[in-house]
Amino acid sequence: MHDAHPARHRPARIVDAHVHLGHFRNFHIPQNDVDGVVAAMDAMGIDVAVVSAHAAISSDVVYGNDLVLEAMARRPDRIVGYCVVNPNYPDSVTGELERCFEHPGFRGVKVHPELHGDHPLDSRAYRPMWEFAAERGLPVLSHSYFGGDSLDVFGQLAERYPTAQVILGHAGQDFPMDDVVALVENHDNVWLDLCGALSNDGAVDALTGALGSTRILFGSDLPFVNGALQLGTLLYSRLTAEQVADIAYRNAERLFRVARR
Amino acid sequence: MNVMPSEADPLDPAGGEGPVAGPGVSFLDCGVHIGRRSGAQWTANRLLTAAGLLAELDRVGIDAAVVHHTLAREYSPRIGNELLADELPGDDRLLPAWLLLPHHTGEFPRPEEVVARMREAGVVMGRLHPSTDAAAHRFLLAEWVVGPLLDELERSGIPVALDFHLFRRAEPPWAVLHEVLRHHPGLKVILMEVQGRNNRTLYPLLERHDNLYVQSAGFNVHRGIEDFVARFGAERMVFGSGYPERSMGAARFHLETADISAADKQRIAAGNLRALLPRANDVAEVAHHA
Repeated sequence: MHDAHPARHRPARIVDAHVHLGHFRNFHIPQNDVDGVVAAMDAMGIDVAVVSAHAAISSDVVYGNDLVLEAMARRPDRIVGYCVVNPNYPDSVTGELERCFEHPGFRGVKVHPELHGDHPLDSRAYRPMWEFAAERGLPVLSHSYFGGDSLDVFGQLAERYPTAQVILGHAGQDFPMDDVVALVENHDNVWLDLCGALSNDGAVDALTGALGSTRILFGSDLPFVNGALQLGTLLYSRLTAEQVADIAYRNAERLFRVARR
Repeated sequence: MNVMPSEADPLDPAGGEGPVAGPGVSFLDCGVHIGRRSGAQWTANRLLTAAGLLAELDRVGIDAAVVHHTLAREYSPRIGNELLADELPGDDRLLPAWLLLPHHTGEFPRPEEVVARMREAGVVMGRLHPSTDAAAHRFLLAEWVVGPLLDELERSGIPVALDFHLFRRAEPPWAVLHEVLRHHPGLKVILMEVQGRNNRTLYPLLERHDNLYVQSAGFNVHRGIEDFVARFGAERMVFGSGYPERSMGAARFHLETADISAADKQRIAAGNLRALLPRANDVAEVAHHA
């Protein structure tokens, strides 16, 4: 294959802010364990992945967080974790966060309101999570497509917990782009992760044109989907090399404390 | 216009199998379109001319593409197909494809006439968009609807791309697809945009029907190319991006980074589709006798 095509960006490093792990009941995912995930990262040149387990967002949250612990133990050089909390077990939220964050590999919190029964992100059950994240200045990644929580809710939570870092997984791609841009412009602690949005050619170019590149994160959603189809869209975009570097790794390095030593 | 791979084959500069790695590798994209799309948010909305498409092929490093017209998918297949003939520049790198409808409403001629016109125009592929999705053409992919058209395509050797306009979590109409493949074992069918959630039904369908092929970038599965090739061989997948909705560069990156042999990558990149397309001589001969 053409190994050095000039149109392809080659950032110095790539950090993937939205990665999963394991089986998903709804469909077949080949090679979905940590070795399969790292093999895909190697093939694409992804250095570090921030991972939550499918089991945690769609089944047993403790079992899923344990899978991430095992993955971090197996590949501490490549994997850091999101701790998932399940609002359907409100009494366990704080305890699960404390259990996870005893391990230094966990760098953020992941929530999936849709798969957890459309539990509103601003409901009482999530409150301990937001307080925990705000106290520690943690990133909180929330799924944000197919409706669910409105952009207003994301904005209100960002205002209520200004030291928490709020990441819209899938960049809010089912909302008007202008409204998503306004949300980020109006809240210093709101970030966008691109997975899903990168399925459309031109989306990252338009988003970066409107917003700049400093609060956009590369995310692939692998192994839920094929990571190369997401990353390739970024690497073959018409952004500048500096913009691609921000999105590919600089922003995530700061947010998840995964800077190269 | 010489639209077919023939003596001086732009898709196969080395001739024969071609090199399996290195700068001589060719990419042939099975599905792109030109024109002015209705557009949407979160996509690049612009008029894509044939010249613009050629520029993108050059930018990304794709050698050639099978092209249909946006107006044929978004407005009228007949009118869009006619515009395609006007707008393609006679460049050997852009191979025309037509959107097709069944003939029963009178919007399209009878199948034998359609296929004769396709051959006369050097059209290398037919496309069917049979979903009830509002963006598609809303007919059932059943024998009593499309059987006569598929009979003619099967006889002609012109492959057909099926695009069901699947939205994220959707799946193709498996039962009718299975029946079509069973009734037309000689028809080469390329399943476009099958997405990532359908292996549990797609795989047994591929096992049953040797005439079913899958577009590469539409197969949005983690380690999917690797898994597919291990099970079915590289021969059943053809390179295709879905540009301009999808990124042509991403389609290339997807194949380039797959953990399969260089020879298999070359087959998927261009060899398989090249083998599926009717040859220039076939078209000329048929057109002469039509």
